[in-house]
Amino acid sequence: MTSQLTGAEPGATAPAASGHTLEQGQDEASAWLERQQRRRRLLGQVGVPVVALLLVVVFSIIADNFLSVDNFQTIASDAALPAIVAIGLTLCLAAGEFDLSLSGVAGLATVSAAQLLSPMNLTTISAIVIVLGVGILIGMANGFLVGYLGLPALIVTIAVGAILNGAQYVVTDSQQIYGGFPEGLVAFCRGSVGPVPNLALIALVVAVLAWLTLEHSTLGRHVRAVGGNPVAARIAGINNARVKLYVFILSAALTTLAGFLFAGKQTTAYPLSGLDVLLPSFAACFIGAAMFKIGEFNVPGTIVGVMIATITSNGLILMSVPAYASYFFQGAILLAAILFARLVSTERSLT
Amino acid sequence: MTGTSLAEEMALEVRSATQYYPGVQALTEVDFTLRAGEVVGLVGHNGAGKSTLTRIIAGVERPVSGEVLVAGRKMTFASPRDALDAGIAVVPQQLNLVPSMSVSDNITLGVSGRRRDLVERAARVAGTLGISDLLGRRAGDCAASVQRLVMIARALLRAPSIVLLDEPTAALHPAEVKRVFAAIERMRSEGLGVVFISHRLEEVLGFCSRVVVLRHGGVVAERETTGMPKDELGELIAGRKLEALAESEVVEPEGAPVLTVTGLAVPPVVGRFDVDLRPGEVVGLAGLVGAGMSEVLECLAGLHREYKGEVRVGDERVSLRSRQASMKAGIAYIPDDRSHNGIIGNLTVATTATLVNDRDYRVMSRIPLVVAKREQSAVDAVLSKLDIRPASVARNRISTLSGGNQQKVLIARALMSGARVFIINEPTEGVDVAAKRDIHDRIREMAGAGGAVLVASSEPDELADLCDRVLVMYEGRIVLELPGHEATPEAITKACLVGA
Repeated sequence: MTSQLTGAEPGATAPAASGHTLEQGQDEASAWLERQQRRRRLLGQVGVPVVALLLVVVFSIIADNFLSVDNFQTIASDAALPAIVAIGLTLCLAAGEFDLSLSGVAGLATVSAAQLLSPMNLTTISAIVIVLGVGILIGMANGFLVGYLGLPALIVTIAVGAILNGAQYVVTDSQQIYGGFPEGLVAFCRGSVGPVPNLALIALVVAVLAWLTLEHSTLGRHVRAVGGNPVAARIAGINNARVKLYVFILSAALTTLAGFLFAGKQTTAYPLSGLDVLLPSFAACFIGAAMFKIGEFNVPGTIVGVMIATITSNGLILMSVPAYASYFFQGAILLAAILFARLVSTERSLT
Repeated sequence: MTGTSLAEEMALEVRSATQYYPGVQALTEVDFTLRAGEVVGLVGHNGAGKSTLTRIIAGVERPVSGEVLVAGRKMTFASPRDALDAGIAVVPQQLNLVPSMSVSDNITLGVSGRRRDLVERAARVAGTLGISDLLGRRAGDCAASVQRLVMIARALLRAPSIVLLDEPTAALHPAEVKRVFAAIERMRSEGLGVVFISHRLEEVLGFCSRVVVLRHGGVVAERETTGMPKDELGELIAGRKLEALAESEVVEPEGAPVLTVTGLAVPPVVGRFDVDLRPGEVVGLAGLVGAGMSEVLECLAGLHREYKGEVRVGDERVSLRSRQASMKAGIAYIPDDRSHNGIIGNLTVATTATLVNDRDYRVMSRIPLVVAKREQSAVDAVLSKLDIRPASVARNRISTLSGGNQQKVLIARALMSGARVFIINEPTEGVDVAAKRDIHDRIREMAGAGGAVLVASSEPDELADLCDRVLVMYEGRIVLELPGHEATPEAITKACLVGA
């Protein structure tokens, strides 16, 4: 995925060998390359955290009430569900694939959860089993079409997303569902342990597991290999199709989990009103790819990306900026993220 | 300097061009001349410097030193555009037509101007090449020879004074070749200078008045072709004198074969391939590009689903439907074109080496979590035996290593896989001399421990150094088996060129 992300040309752009002997030319070239890379890497390590810090400082100054424990709890709680979705997307992007069905998956999970819990009166456990099961099936469909049939993920997941948007009307019979959720679930989704919201804790657990998976597990190594160079990954003996199947399942399952919890938090649901996740998730992942492991999608980076997006929208709301302005900011953040990722990319080498 | 009269006569002159790439000296003080109305052959085996010289003339790259003169004037090409403006047109070996567009549109592709003028010019050029009646046809529907002529027409549309033809007859039937030669003859008679780059020696001798032979980046011979026998040209390309090839006698090595391949066919390239690899053997595969070596190796690696024939590892018949199946059968594979097929730039050295083989480095063998420290020390231990420098690179990104070290990591991966059969394509592509020696030693060791190695290389010297015997492929078949003492670089080169 790295090269698509940054668009860096595979060829080297080392300076023309000006030295007279071969070794001299080579040494100069590689020294130049190394200086370049170090500078870019430093910019990447420092750049994003500095932006996040600046945001906090700016909003503390210009927005009343920004700098308070209550507000930070709100931010943590608001960031939790988008973070869970973005973590799933991170796994997908790390394997070099896109998942644009996220909004549809999240929305369907929310309305299905509401339908099962409120009018149909199922227990929380049975509802979550059913909803997660459906989410996994959707992920399997995406993964099968992309991995095994080789269809382009961009189109497949847009199509699946559209179908799921339609399905939300079927599930709810086009009605709004309001209230009647199990009290335990609602209390959990709105509660906290000490100052930390429960949802933020869940996001944290998901993040740790996803980080372990991506960075240290056999599957994660294969995911990064397929994303880095699918041809070489296949030659090395990786079953690329199966890896893609797994990441689409994980992406859909995590999005489903977030959609389910969103229902419990809002205690209301109607078609196409689920979590607004698509754009923020992509923005978070691309911001994340510009830090920690430069040029690679990674879980800690994604978390910081989600925090930046959430802090921005929180600050803007506190400043009573009209709601439509947040669209401008979402788009601008995504553009800034990929520009920055390109800027700090070190995907250039001599060979 | 020589008098102006001589300089004017030269359509193209290259003076002591020298070019380096990282780790390779590609050209050393090469002189090359071409008169108007002359067809000059440029020959040499892979890596001899033909492509580099072509790229310099075409303005794709600039030489480290030396100069290019067109019609006696010194030129500095910053880009292929400049060379084109100076009247130099290149017809690349690769057909790059747009299949869905008409022949006419393909000829004028990339040239701006009024459409009607362009169509007229295309028709005129097509007329001289004898493809007028095909102008409206879809390029993709035309025969290979016509497609080649369309490529030539595209070059001629820009009214060049010099035309470089890179392997214009590769993949053409003899009858089709005639059409290409008619076109070349026409260019010559109209006063164009033509450089003809080819591996097909009969054609070079038949159609060029003069031939320039490159070897190891230098010009080793420049001769008139009149009366020159094919064997002599083959010897010039290969270097040194060739003795007549002795009848090959096959000495059966000891032990039951580790790998037995019977009647392997990989359509459409490989017609039939048979080999037995005995324990301890290193068997080489030689041949020109397109002779089928890569297809044989890739098939054994499990990368070609469509194949026929029987493959046995030890006594067991194995399926090669996927890389995983081939791996499970005990076949390790080190691909050619390392940066494209081998290296996954975002992984560490350790992860590259243990990518699909991490069981020994897990927290527990049942839990698929890899302990980085454990994996890194294991990989460093193997790499230290491969004499990789600097030491302890296992935790670095593989993309930060030099080409030779990257290749050693891929070898380490093969060694750590526990395979018995090692399939290697171009083991030392883009690798410096010292690393090359290390890699050769390691390949011999792979065979030493009861394993067997099948290795293809476009460098005859490498195969001669490395192999117990060498199989020469030509047009998808084994045409000759050279036992070790007869597998000299010269014999291999000659067999590759003339098909035994």
